[in-house]
Amino acid sequence: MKNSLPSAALFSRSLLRSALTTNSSSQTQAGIERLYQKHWTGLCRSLRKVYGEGPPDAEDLAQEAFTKYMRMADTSHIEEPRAFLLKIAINLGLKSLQRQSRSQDYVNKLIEYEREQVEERCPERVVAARQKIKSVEKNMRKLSKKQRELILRSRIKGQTYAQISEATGWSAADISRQLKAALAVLETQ
Amino acid sequence: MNQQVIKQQARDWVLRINMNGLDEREQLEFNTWIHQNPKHQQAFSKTEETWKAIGYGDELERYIASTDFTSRQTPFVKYGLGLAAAACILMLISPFIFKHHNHSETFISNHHGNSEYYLKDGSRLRLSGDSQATMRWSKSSRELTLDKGSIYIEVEHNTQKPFIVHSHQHQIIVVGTAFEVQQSPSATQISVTEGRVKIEKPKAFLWSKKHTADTLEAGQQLKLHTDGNKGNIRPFDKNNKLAWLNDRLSYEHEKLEQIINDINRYSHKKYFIENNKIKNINLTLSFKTDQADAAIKGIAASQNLSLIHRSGQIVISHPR
Repeated sequence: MKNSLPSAALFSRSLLRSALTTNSSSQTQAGIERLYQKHWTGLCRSLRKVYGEGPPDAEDLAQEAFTKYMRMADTSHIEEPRAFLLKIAINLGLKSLQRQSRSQDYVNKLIEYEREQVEERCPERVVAARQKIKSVEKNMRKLSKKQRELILRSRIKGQTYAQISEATGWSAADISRQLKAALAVLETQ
Repeated sequence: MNQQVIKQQARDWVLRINMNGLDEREQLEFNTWIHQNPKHQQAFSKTEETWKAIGYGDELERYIASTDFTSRQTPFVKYGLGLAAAACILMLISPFIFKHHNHSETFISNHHGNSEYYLKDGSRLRLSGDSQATMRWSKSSRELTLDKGSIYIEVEHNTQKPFIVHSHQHQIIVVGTAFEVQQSPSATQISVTEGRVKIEKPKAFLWSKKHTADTLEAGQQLKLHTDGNKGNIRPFDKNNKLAWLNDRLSYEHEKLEQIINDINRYSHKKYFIENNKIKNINLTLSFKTDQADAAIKGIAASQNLSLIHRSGQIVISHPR
């Protein structure tokens, strides 16, 4: 059951109801059903690849991501719904691991990249944030396989130095060195 | 200070803060560093922005697909895990070896489904999902305590050693028969399929004239509440009540509360009903125990109910 779409038609209808009661979304029921049919399995597959058997649970994250997506007032600007759903789900996963909020006590100048919020910001910030995302993505290709794995384990899977060290057998000093080198590459314009 | 050194320090702080968090001493250290020089704050913000931007590109799925997230343990750790796995398998196939002490044995079933055990006297125990029972042997009796869940017992006839089942404060005494005992936090329900069982008056209510010992015949059912109240002896539908023995849950005009209690024994997810009106919804339905989650979604859709994730539970409520 974990690998398949769980009663998609029934469940999406109940989600649709809750979405419509909280937001007069422009999305149609047929559109939401199509979104489910098309992306549910792939989304769960990616989330399971990252988080394994959890926690967080891949299906729970996918469900929350779909709910959040459907409650958005306007999704017309989202070109890749699957990629966007994955980002929402990963964000929720990190929040559930309490990794993301740690730095917020120290720095108030953090940029939130969720586009639904970004859209409300001043145009200059939106453009800057999008450019940053693009340059980071472009630079990801320049990382070595090991550096990319470390970046994804720390930033996407939310693992600590100790957890990465335990999983890979690499020393904490080596992990720190590689991650700093990776960040240096990602920071370049 | 050299700009490159500052950038390296900033990266180190971003990684430490986001990956491990800082203890009190490190927080002080960080506060000192960040306020030491405006360049520190600048470098930190730049790295922090980069860190936050990772994974927001549209290629994330491709990167995830091409990365190995599995654990690559050292040989020593692997060996340790191997031993742990072997121990688990041994426990699964032979609960007697590990759980046998002071003439007692514990039988456990998990969310994956029913478990079946044969006792040394030939009696057969069948536990529904997420159930637990402990068997104790003495010279004069065979005593089983139902710790949680449901159990169906086929007792091997032995007039010298009655078989006594304890559930909450109740004692159910049999000689040779087949029956189900179902325990919920507030009650015990006994359903007899063969022979006859005697239910003793609970010791806590010995003073009460209201309470009596009861005898149930085949085809009869009785619910005993922990507050001392009890239902009437009534007939029951064996096919529905004991459908779980064939890995199904089957109901005819059953309250949703009872259905959810049963489903919670077969699902890793924990469902919770928010109000009494929903608990009392009557339903007739049947589904396989491994389709419990899909069944809930179907119930929610047909009854216009919402399923909301909250604090590790899924709350069943009216749509807001």
